[in-house]
Amino acid sequence: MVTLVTSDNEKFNAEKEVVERSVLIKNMLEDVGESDQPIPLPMFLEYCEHHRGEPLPAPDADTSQDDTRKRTTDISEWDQKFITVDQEMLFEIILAANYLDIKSLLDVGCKTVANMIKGKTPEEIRKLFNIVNDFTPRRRCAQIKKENEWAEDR
Amino acid sequence: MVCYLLNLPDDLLLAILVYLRPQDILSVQQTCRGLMTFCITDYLWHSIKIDFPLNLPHKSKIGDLSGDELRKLSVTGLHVDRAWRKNPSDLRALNRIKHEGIVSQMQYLPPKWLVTMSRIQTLVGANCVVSIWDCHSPSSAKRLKHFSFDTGHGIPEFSAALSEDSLHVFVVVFGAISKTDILKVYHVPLQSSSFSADHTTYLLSKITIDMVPGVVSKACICGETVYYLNARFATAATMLDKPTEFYVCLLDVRSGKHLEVKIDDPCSHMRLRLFPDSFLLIAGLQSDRTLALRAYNVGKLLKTLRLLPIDSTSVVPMNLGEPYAKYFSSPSPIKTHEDFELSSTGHITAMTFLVGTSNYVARFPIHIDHGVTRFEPGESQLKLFPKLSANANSELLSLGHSGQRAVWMEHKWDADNFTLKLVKGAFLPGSGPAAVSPLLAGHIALPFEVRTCQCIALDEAMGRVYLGLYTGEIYVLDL
Repeated sequence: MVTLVTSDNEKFNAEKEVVERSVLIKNMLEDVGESDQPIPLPMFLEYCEHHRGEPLPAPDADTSQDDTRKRTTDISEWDQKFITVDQEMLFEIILAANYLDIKSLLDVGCKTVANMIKGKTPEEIRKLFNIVNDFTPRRRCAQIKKENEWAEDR
Repeated sequence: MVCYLLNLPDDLLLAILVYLRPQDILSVQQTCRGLMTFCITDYLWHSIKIDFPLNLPHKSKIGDLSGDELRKLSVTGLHVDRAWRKNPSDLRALNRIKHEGIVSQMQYLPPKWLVTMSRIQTLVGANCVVSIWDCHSPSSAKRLKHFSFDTGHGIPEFSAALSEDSLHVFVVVFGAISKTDILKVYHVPLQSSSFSADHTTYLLSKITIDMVPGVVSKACICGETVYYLNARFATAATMLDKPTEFYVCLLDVRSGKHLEVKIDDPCSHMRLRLFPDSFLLIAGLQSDRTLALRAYNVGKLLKTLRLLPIDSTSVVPMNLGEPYAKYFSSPSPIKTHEDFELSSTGHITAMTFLVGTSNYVARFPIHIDHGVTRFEPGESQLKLFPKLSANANSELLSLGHSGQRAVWMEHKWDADNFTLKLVKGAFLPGSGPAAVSPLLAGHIALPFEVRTCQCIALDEAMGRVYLGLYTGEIYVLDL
């Protein structure tokens, strides 16, 4: 058993095997270090609990060029439910998964954002993520639209 | 309001964008200045999956081009993709190229060359003309080079390829050329202004009937090696019950050195594909109606070929060895006498196998990993695609370079009524169904009769269909 303490002094108990899904925590446990990065710990524990026992990706299984052919945005049903959160939480999970070095959770987060973008028009994407159209003058915006447009009647 | 997306560090933003399709990247790019710069980075465009044909410059790979070049090519590619999916397609442009004779065969060489063969009947046989056209703009297509030779009554075939440096076209003519020659290789410069119709000017090497007995078929060019299939039938001089023997032959075009190896387990309608890294694929139909694919590494054979003494015609006792990968489909409704087409591969590394009459299609993923071709047949399957009308037969099959698109002609006898229809097919990656529809809407009247069409060539990346006619004309349809 390991006890994790959050920055606001909440304590969580978890099995070592479960939290070691995070490469960061695994390394921390090995050479007791410290960090003050806030992480949505309860969610992280729930995720790791569900995926316990699954093989961890090999450390050198990096995304090579060859991986592009296997890249899909399919997400398992459980993960999909898990990641159905508001945008603030979603991006916090992505940042935390990246910081804690949990590749599978990071992938789920990134795929979710990618799926939100898919099939949307530039205006819809701006609305979705509160992106400010900063092209000036407006002429430039029209020019970029012309250069990139492939579906005239969309 | 906070924009969480733009607050992400660059590496995480990239980790999200690589999951997108090119069309989504194009949308993201239009949202703001920050994302616009981010979305033309080379790394992003090299990492995303582009699964529609692109009009890449000759010999270039995705990784050779900049992000902005790939963005421009993708916009064009998506326009074509969209037009191709329309059922039926609109005809954006129709152009006519004035040719001569009967246009019997055409081959399109990306990015802009059309090689044609036409015949003009003479008293003793036929005069065969091979022409190379610059079709960058079909409305002003230019015939750059042509040469002609006399043949007997048979119709020779050809296969063409651009040279490594894009400055020459290799044309290999084979089959019924003359009484003595069965295969000739021509090397035609695209640049020089010298103009000669005499075929000996461009002749590089040839194979005569004394060198290789039997029938030559399916010749193709890979780099500077011509490879073809040679069938030797039993004759009265040998034993009549001896089965036909099949050989894979390799010819070094510059030196004329020649090598042949026997195929130990031949099947009918064999097709060959040689890849630059010595990967040879032999496809064929077996007597029990299964499709057989065997992959060999012929690096040793190619090395032996290069080391042969000049003008060597001696047969080196070598064999293909064991295939290092093979695939056999389960017996299917393919008839063993049916012909099929095998695609080359473009940036989408898969090979399409298309059977005309049965309307079967299969795509075999081929992975090129650090310059080594690997073949993973396990992931594919034979699929049936619909015929537009029942009891119709398909002919003049023209499969695009990457095998994702095809055009053919469907003909049908219906109570004394003979109908012909131009059909297009899209064989999309993944397990989705093949999309087949008429090429043109019924109300579009073409200025020629479809039945005069002798051959079809397809420029897959630009969505352009070339129809070679009996009347000596070529019509170019832009979809």
